[in-house]
Amino acid sequence: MMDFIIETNQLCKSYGGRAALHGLDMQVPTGSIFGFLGRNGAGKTTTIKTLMGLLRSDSGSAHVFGQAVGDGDRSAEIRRRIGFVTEDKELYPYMTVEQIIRFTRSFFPHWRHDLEKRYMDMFELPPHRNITQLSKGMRSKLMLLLAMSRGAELLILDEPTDGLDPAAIEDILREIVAIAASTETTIFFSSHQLSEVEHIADHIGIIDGGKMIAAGCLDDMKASYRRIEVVLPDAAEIPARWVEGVQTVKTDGRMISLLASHNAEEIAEQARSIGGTTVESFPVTLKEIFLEQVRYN
Amino acid sequence: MLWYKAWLETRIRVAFLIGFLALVIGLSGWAGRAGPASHHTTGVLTSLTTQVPLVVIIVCAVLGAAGIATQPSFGVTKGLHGSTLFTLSLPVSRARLLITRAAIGWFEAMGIVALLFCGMWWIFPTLKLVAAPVTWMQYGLTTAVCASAIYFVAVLLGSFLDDQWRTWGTMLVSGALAGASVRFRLPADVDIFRAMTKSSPLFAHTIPWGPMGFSLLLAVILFLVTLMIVQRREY
Repeated sequence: MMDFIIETNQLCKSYGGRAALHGLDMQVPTGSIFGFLGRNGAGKTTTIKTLMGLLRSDSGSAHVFGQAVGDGDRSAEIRRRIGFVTEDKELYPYMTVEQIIRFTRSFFPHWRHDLEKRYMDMFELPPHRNITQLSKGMRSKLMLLLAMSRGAELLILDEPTDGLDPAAIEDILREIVAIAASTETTIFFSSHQLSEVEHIADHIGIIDGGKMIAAGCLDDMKASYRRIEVVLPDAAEIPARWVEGVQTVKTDGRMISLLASHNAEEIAEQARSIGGTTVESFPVTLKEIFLEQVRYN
Repeated sequence: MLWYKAWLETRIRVAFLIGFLALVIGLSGWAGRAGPASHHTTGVLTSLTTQVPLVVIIVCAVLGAAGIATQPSFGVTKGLHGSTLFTLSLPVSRARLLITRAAIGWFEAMGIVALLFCGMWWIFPTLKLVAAPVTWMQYGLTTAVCASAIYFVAVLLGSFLDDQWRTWGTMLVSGALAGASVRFRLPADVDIFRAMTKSSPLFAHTIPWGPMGFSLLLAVILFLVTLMIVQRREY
């Protein structure tokens, strides 16, 4: 089994001279639930479209299942192993729920009839209703059904819970975890909802300005990232240079707040050595990591 | 299942065109029966060869595919319909998507042309006075083959234009080609409009193989250009 199901190397993509991806390096471990985070316009959807072969990169490379994406028939073979939920959740306006399920099923030899039935019941999808008569939330559920029933090895979900109510979000997240655990499907999903990502992801990547600015195992990141609060005496001088690992420094009078990505102990030691009267280290949430990363990138 | 999808996508347009043609032919037939039947052969044939190509061009323009993009069954979309991304996420090559969509539109257009010719033969008694059944069938075949080039103009425009521009664009290109046919003395073997009008089997009593072959060649070239566009296009 390959270590990484998705790998990009120095991936670049521009639209009319504006860079959407600017040397994106990303590795998604096989079997992981990978939360792909970023602000609006950070390059998430461009990355996903490139992986799906909908866009061609200007330079760099992208591999899915160890195969280069974007070249014709091989790309179609890659897509046979992928379940995909698009950002806008649009489906054919001239089909009913039942028709689009039958249509999609015909392309996937490993279609999971059990999951199809389970999600039809769980999402209470009306089989004979036309897609134009479904709410956005219902369309999202239908699209998830179509993606998750494919029997895919990789699910690429672009904002999968967009438009869903909290109860439905809870159901979907539970199903995503269940499908990842029971079938070893890799889940690659983008989201703005940091709490969702924190809830289910075991790996994350934060993209900003078309570059990956932080990536790794979520537990490791949360363990290595610390907020260090330091109170300095009046006479103490704030160091111009901190030990490696300090991501951001916020100063408020004699109080300094440091976000450390690693080396938290050494940083705390440096704070004590310059006379810090109080030096305290706190765990951080994913939201803090994300906000600090994108704000100061 | 791609055929099924393409049929669901186009069936309302097909029904609309059949209904529209039935109405027009029916009303014309009723009007023809009410008044004195024309026995002026040339006048009838000229009138026919002016109106039939126009109707067939409209059929081709309406049924010309939207490339591999989703086309609503009725009305038009502005920009790319979001479900096109769903189509492109399926494990199917863009070539296969385009071939299926273009083929079903072409079969539908040809089916409607066949219905048009059968309906006219059945409704208009005057036709039987001015053309033999074989000649009428030859004219139908000529028109269908020559219209294929027009259909693939619509397919080509549909690969990068929105629906309404594809329809109007096809009409415009057809108008330009018809104008060139009238205004300039095009070589007979490439003049597909003349083959549907003055050089048609109704007048010439022979099948214009040259322009028909040229039309098919043009259709193939237009299709290959469309395929290149579709395969290179980003969505």
